[in-house]
Amino acid sequence: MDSALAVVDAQSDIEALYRADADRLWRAIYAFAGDAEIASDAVAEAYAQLLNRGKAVRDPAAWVWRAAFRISRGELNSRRHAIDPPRDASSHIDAYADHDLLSAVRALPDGQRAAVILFYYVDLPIRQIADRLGTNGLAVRASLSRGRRRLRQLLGDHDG
Amino acid sequence: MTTMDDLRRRFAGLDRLRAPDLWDEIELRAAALGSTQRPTLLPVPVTRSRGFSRRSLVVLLAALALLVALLASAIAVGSGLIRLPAIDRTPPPAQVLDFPNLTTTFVSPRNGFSIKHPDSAALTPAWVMDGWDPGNEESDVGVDVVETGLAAIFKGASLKAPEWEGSINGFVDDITPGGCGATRSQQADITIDGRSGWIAECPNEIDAIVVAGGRLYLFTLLHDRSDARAVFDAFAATIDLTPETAADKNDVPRWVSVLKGMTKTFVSPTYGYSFKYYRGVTPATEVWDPGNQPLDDINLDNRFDANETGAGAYFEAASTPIPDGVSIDEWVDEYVTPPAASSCAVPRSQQEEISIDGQPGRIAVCPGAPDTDPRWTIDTSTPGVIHATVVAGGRLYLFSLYSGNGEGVRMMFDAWLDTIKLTPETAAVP
Repeated sequence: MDSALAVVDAQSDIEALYRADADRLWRAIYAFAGDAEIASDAVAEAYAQLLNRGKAVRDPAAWVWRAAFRISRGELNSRRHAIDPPRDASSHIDAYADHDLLSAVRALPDGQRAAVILFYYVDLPIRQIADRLGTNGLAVRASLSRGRRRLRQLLGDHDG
Repeated sequence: MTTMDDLRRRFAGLDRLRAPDLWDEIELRAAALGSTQRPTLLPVPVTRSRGFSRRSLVVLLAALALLVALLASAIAVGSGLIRLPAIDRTPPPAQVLDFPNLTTTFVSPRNGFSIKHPDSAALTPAWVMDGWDPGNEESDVGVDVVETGLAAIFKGASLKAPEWEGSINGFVDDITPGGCGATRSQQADITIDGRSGWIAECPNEIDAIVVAGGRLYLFTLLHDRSDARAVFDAFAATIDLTPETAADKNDVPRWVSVLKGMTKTFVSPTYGYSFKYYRGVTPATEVWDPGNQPLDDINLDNRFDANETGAGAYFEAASTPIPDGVSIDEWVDEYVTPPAASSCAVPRSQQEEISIDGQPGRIAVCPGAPDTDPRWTIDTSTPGVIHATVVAGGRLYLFSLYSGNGEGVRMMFDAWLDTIKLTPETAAVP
């Protein structure tokens, strides 16, 4: 296979991955960052970086998630303000009304928040969560354990 | 009660969000990186393709508009065209106070002040080890808390003020953002122990800040009382600021603080041991059976007695009967702490030997994963893990510590292990 064809294949594969997986990634980042613009920026940047790397990335699906979470985390750090409840008035945000859950999730530290979202929303097993966060399974389990306890505290009153 | 199924169902609601189609934007960004025609074969340093961020332009325009508006306002005020309402900086008159006498003195172990409180109040002293982190909502561990039981909770904390004098207002605003809508300069004055400061009265909360001896103090009253200001003033009048006695986390070795803090004893109702703790113990609610439970089962967390210290360290403990005829080392490696599942990858037979309550055991120290690019760090405290396993009375005990990396982590774990008493005869599960 010549290099030009390899490029085409890489790009079409990445676009196929985007079409299949990016909506879920965007929602996960939205839950993580609490901001639709950060979610869009992180997903777009992660996929652009993936295109840039092409076939050099061994596991594009995991890589792009890891990159998107890291980019959103960097953006949150650079903004350096509290993660407020969603204030985006666009219709696609209004469609999701469980602000209690999102507010509770956003009260978790970053690692716990990412692990909880990947476990409960994306439904990944712990080993894949570790791959996508660039850590190990034991650390993920600890983050999940702590995050879930905290969520129980935060949501307990609402669930009677 | 929130269950795992509840959380899955609620998270599934995220699927109702419509995600935007970003593919065109992605191709533009990739083109800006100059890469779509030249796939990179080796990992390269990341340069963000910021040139195409529409948000950047919007933010810039908004900032310019805000700047113009501020300049116009300033000119209008300065020329007398607009008069701002005068700000009343005098404290409101104290209301009738129906509150017990403040007779007992509490001396903060880390924050550098003392205060008097009612005899009946419950105290939670600050956790010396972890300091006070105003940016972390979970970080009450560095805060002294006086729970009066009378719809009023008084809190006190302090930290080193920034050396750069000009930053103090911004620093203070970071700590108490908003100040109930009033900027620092618009807040009322208050004097605590002879030091001038600011006070903001918000719904159900009063915050006062003073600076003394290079430290910034925050005193807060959370309340549901009509005479809250009078209650606050009564507490404030008893405060002695002693910044010279304050101890920041870097001033105190972690293990010293751990030993100081672990004064209560937790007796496991299930697994046949006890240990000392400071606070935050949650007993197991299910039985740990490592031979029949997958390691990545999320429900594992219900099967351990856990101690969330709130100070960056999370302990877990459990025990289980050892099956007949197995090699301890091999069984532990296969079912309890497989080397492949952790970052230290040391089989039990090669782990360091230790002793817990006189019983020989093994310990594996697995450092947290380093992150080479702080800007993109998911979690700067990616936890390291320390596992200790010991056999007593036919049971395998597992004690674990999850914590950020740091010099004191092993000492902290050792300090905790030293408090453990093994009582396999009291284990409630087979």
